[in-house]
This record gives sequence, C-alpha cells and structure tokens, in this order.
Amino acid sequence: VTVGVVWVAFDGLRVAVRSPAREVLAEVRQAFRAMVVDGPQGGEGPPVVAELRVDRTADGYEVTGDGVPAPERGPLAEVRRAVRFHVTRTFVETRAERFWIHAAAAHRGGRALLLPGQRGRGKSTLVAGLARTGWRYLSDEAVPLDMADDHATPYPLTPQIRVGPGGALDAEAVAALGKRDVPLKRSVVCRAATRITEVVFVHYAPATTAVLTPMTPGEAALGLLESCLNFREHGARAIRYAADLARRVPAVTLTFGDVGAAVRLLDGGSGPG
Amino acid sequence: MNEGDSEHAVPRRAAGVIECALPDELLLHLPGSAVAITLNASARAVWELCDGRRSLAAIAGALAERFDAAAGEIPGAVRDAVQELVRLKVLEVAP
Repeated sequence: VTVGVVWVAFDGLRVAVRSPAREVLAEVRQAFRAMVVDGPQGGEGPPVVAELRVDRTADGYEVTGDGVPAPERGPLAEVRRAVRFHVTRTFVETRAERFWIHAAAAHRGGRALLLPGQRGRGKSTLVAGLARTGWRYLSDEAVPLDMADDHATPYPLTPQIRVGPGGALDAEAVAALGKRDVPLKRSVVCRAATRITEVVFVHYAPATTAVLTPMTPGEAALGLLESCLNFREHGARAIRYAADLARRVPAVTLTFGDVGAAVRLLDGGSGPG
Repeated sequence: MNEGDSEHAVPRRAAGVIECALPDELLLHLPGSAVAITLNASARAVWELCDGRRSLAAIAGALAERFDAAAGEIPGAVRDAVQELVRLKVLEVAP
C-alpha cells in the first residue's frame, strides 16, 4: 500500500499528514490549501513537529499520531475536522509564545482587522466577504499574535462557512451544520505578518441591520481573553497583553445579518483608529 | 450576615491579584483562576480604597467627599460592590 503525505507548513515548521487513502489526502490538501508545501528534498526542510496518520477502517477512517490521545474515527468530513484541529493544536503548542486567539483576520492598506467571535458567529462568512472585496486574508479560525508588537502571523486555513437554513439557531444546531469551503485565490492570501489595528467582535444575527457598537477597553480585553486559545500557557502575561492591546487599538462589536452590508460598514472604517 | 455587610468590616485586596489599568476601568485577575473582571470607574474607586485599613464606613465617607452623589446612596453602593468583589475572591474582608 502506498502511503502519501501532505506537508502543512506554518512559521518555519511542518506537520506531516500521511494516509494511504487518496480522498483523505485530497481533503487535507483542500483544508490547508494555502499552507501546503512540497516535501523535503534530500532530507532538508523545516523541522517536522508532528506526524498524523489517517487510515481507512471498515466503516470510515481513523486518525492517529502525535498529539492524538486516542484514535479518532468517523466519516471523511469528521476526519478532516479532526486533522484540522490537531494540526492547529500542534502549531499552537509549538509556537506557544504567541497569544493565539480564536478569530479571523484580514488586512487592507494600513488597516488590519482582528475578528474574534464564538463558533457560529459569522467570522468565516465575514472574512470571506472581505476577501471578495479586496481585503487580504490571514485566517478564519486561529490568529497567532506576537505580544511584543501586535503582529498577526498568517494562518490561512481554507475558510469554511456553515451551510444552513438561515435564521436563528442555538449553539448545538450551529455545530451540527455542514460546512463548505470558500475557495480563495492565492493572491488574496496574505503572507506577511501584519500589525493589528482594529478589533471587531463578530456577531451574526439574522435579519438585523449591520451596526458597529464601540466597546470599552475593558470589554474588549475580556473578549480577547475569552477567545484566547492558550491562556493557560500565559496566565498573567495574557491578561496584561489583552489589556495592552485593548488600550492600543479601537474595538467594536459588529452585529450583522447580511454580509454585504457588514463589509460595506467595515470598508467605511470602524473606529477612531 | 455576609462578609462585607457590616460598616465596620475592613476589606483588603486578595494577595496576588493582577491589576491592569485601562482608561476609566480596571482589569483584575486572580492567578490560578479562570476569571478576569473589569471594574468601571465607580467600582474602581471602591477598589482603590480597599487597602486593608479603611472600613466600609470610611470608604463610603471618602467617596462621598469625592463624588457628587446622594450621601445616603453611597454606603449601600459600597457594600454591594465589596460583596461582589469578595464573591469573586479578589477582595477579602476582616470583620
């Protein structure tokens, strides 16, 4: 059996995802399209910080490997979700000095938006909408911030938006929705670390007019901490950084029901910065 | 009676609480907990007077000199703020 491999790269590191199943490799390539690199030539290349493996089982697939405490089994879509999670977790742990935040991010010109939001709040939909209108894409899921200078390193997972009936859904219903990829041209993907200039907490609310509501620095700091993916590693340092970032950059809540209206609102500038 | 009920109670900040000053607000965190809180300007003023020496009555008196509020409202507001901060474990009260 031939086992293929997909190399996923971030910030000078690589994770290898191996599988004998072509459909799995295709899904992984698609999930990390802008992060996939060629294999090492003659043993050279960035360090490999984890290896995952996906094998077929009688009724689906199974994920094993570094950082996977017990085999995770399921259909292809579930396996893709697990690989996406474990690869990201590996990079979060390996680049633990960053303040990793559950957020999307995009930049254009001198503006760079950090878009935190809980699951199902419209981060991916919004950042995909921004990318369609001239903004450069940094991430739709996890953003690593350098605490020394507020620079976000691109973590350009392929954006995925939920496919649903519209209308208000509770968290459980949101989690159960299927997802579809949003294809982005490579030229849209930002490759350089970019300093965050605005924080926009995203809140999708069906059938509402898009509106920006200023936040106090305290509200913003708490929101940043709630979305921090590696608070345990940083503790007090994360507290101080969230407060510092909230002092330095303006923060707003964006409530929207229509992504086009939300993008137009952000295009007009969201704050005093 | 709850901690912080008596006007003679003397609140003090819990050891190790991290304070981050923000414009008009204060961000607090107790290491080892998963909780961070922000205080608005009035709660911050109470917090800053909780030095382990002043009683609730003394804190209310100090705030009455500083703020233009009905004198009768301040002791109750101080007591409520202190009780909440004790509940969040960032203040301790010596009876």
